[in-house]
Amino acid sequence: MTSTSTATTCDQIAPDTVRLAKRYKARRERVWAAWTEPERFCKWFGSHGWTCTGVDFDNREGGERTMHMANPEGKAVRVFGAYQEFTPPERMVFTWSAEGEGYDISDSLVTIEFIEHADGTELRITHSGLSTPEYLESHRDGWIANLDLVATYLGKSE
Amino acid sequence: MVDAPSPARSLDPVSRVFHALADPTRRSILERLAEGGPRSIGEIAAPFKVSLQAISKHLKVLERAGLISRDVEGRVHRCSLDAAPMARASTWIERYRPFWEDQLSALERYLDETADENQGAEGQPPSTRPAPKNKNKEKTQDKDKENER
Repeated sequence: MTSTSTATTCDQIAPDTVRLAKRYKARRERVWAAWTEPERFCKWFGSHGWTCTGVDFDNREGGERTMHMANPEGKAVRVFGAYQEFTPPERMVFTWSAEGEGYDISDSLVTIEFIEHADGTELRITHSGLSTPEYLESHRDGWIANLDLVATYLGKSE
Repeated sequence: MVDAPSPARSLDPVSRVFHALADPTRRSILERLAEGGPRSIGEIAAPFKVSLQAISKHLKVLERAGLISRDVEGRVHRCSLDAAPMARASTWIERYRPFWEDQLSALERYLDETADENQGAEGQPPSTRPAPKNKNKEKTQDKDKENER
């Protein structure tokens, strides 16, 4: 069996942002389709106990994107948002608000980049805690420089 | 640029912390409180060029996020840092990181399993597929959907 991907790399690039990357030995159009076509999407999204019970994708910039999920305990988690960018087959950005069972978050931002390589597709996901303009502005000011600061606070939290 | 009032939003606790941390002045305030003990509003405001009123607004945001607590003694308000919400907010990543790792692995399995399918999605432009009623809207038929996993 051929290995079709490298291990997932994952970086926490700010106190509230995580970035993951993975390579797939599949053409970019296929990977894009897996993300945007509901019947395909529901065949893989939701795993390790999670299930995806239904989705509603309005695949265009500004279009709404909703997913109905159940967590490993069977409790419902609804994830909703809208596409901020939709550029087939290379990039999508959507807000992600989740309700339910400890996964609550309002207006986080998911950015997915589909990067073509000779041997397949690299997928890069960046999930940021906030999507407001002031947040994005603060990123430009250098969140990363403040990571040590946050570590200091956490050290003093007991 | 007009500074429009932000709409009243009931943010969940984690988002409220991220929102509080998104501002550099607020991060500075927290840094100073982390270094020393409780400080009065005047002491907090002293090193900043902005008005006391502006600092007061920042303190309210920090308070709503649970990052500072306020102690009132007569007319003196003293603020101190509570970093517990930040610790809780950082665990947000700890929930979503494994979630995304799992999804990316699941995608890999799906792409492996369907690698031999000669599906229309491979390179075929959307316009050659039958147009659904709402051009971009796509929805699963969740009631009758066969579970084909």
